[in-house]
Amino acid sequence: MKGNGFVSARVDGEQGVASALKALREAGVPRERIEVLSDLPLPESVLGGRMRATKVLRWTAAGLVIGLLTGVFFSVGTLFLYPLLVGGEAARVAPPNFIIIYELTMFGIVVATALGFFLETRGRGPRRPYFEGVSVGEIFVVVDLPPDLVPSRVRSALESHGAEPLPDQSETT
Amino acid sequence: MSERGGPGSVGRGDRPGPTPVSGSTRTGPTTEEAALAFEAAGVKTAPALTEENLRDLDRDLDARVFGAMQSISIRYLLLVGFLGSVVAFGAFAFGWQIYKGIGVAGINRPVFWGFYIASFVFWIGISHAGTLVSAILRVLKVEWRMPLTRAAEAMTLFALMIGGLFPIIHLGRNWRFYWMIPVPNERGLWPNFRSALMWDLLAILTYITASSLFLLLPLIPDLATARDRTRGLRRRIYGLLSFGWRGTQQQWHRLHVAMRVFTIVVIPIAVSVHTIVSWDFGMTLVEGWRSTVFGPYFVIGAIYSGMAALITVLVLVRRSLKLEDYVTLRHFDRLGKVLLAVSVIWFYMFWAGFLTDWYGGSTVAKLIQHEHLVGHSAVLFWTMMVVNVLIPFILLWFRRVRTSMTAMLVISLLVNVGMWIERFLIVTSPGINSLSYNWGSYTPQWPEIAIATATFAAFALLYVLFSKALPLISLWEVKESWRVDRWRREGLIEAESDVPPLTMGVPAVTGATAVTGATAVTGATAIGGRGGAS
Repeated sequence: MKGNGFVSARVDGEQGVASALKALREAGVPRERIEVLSDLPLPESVLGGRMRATKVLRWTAAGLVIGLLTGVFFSVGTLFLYPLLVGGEAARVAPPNFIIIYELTMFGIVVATALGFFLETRGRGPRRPYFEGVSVGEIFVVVDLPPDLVPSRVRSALESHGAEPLPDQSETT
Repeated sequence: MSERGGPGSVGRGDRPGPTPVSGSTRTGPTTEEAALAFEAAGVKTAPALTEENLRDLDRDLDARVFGAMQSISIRYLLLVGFLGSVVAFGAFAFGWQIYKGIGVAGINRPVFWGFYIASFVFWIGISHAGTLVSAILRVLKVEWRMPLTRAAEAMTLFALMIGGLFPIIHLGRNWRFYWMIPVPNERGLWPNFRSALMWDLLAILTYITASSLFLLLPLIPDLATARDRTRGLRRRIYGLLSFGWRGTQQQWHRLHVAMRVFTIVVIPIAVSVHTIVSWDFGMTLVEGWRSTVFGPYFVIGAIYSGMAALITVLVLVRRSLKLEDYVTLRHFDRLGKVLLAVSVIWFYMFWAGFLTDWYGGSTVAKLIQHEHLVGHSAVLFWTMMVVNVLIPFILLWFRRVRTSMTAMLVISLLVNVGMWIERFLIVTSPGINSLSYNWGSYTPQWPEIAIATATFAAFALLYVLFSKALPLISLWEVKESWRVDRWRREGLIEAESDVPPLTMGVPAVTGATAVTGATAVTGATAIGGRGGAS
């Protein structure tokens, strides 16, 4: 997503977030270019609707399938590929196989879910602004400016709705 | 430590209140007995706090938690040194056992499993309190879990790290343990996946992975806060561990989704782990072990010992980190009730197995029972019954006991002594078997005692180090739950939300409005916790 830099502003409480988002909407900033930074998750009603869907659950589903297949390979596949010449035949030991398949499926789910979370959280692309004030309870709005919007317009829109636009020396993580 | 005060009072008297914060309107600490009295009368009260009040509370909580992390006293260093010495001696004992061979341990025919496997089962049991209890309370949306979950989840991880070592310590050739890893070894052999030992490995591996991530995920926002409050090397480490957390709403949403998955998945994983451990015994043909009830019996035993360990840890953490305003007497009241309920279920499960063997068991099973009831192991058996059944059942009915830190510490320690004995009695029961010429007893030798003792020290050491490295209370979850009530009143969230409002461990704030049931009593002073109005 090409951008024109970032504009950030400090807002006051949940009402401040709602006002800032309204101002940005009116100024023509698409929702996906706006980030609200806070030390707590804010109610969705403040943010003006449901959050954008996350891909974490897709990772979970992928982990389930991979874990299941790995479990089947270990418990059934290896017995066919390398049959032990003592005991029963490979495919007949279903109950113990079930335990291996169950554990590896669960293993796949937890690892994939966490992996999905970490990769999405770490993110890609340019570094984005961050403010240490977040850790002491302040709330910030960050706008990834679209190419067709000038920063001054966004700043004045935010200011007119009670937000406090910040100079451009934001810290990044 | 006295924690008295009645309705209308605002202080506990002998303990300083929360650290005053600039601009704070605080007058004193919580009045737990008043809150307990309201609760006993069935009155639902909640302090209706303004955002300003809440910010004061946030600052106080941060100051306490991060303050505790940053102060290192001589006593702390001495404690670390002592625990480290015990662990080092255990490591020496293990080295001695490797050098001389497994023969230095007391295990021999007919008792092949002794201290090591009893300790293995014990520690895996302890691990159940954390993740399982935390996950169940999350699923049930139990509000009072908030300040407890982090301490409980950390306990799980440490107990698993220790418990998982015992099967390796127990091996005759420890250096071959990697043959259990599911890849062909240098001889081109795959592990035998039909072996219960492999089930153990996979179950513990899955559980330790799930528990670590279950601890780490909700820790990330707090690690980001720690990153912003520290400098130098610590800041870099916290920055690395916080995975670029910025607190965007998309990140919060993602965290909630991931935690929901984990909460659901971790419960069956935890149940499967101890069931599989029980099958190490239950699926053999050994009398005293072979039992269909062992699965659920072990799981409930694990929850029982884990709950007791959680109480022990919380009493000590609360005292040492001065978290009395957040981990309150009412938390212990609730935990005491849960412990009582679990103790009764545990006894029921024990009785189901015991009576079946008594009535219709084999001759050997009856001989083992006889040995436990009036034989050589009678002292251990009756000690177990007294500390696991009698003492909790008699004492935990009384709120006075449940809200006494000393009593809860003693009871929880006794329960764990009893649960260790229970595992020891089960593990060593093959001393009596169907071949009377093959009967024998088991006496632990010094390396076994040293290693088992060292694991207790290792657990304490890990916890002590953890308390200085990471926040022991989930700061953001506590702060969020404080706000849920206000958000609900302001119509920002629906009445039924994912996050329950926290009504325990909300320290005193003046100027707040006490809400009793649905009726607001304006102008009243919230006197702490779900403090009441006079």
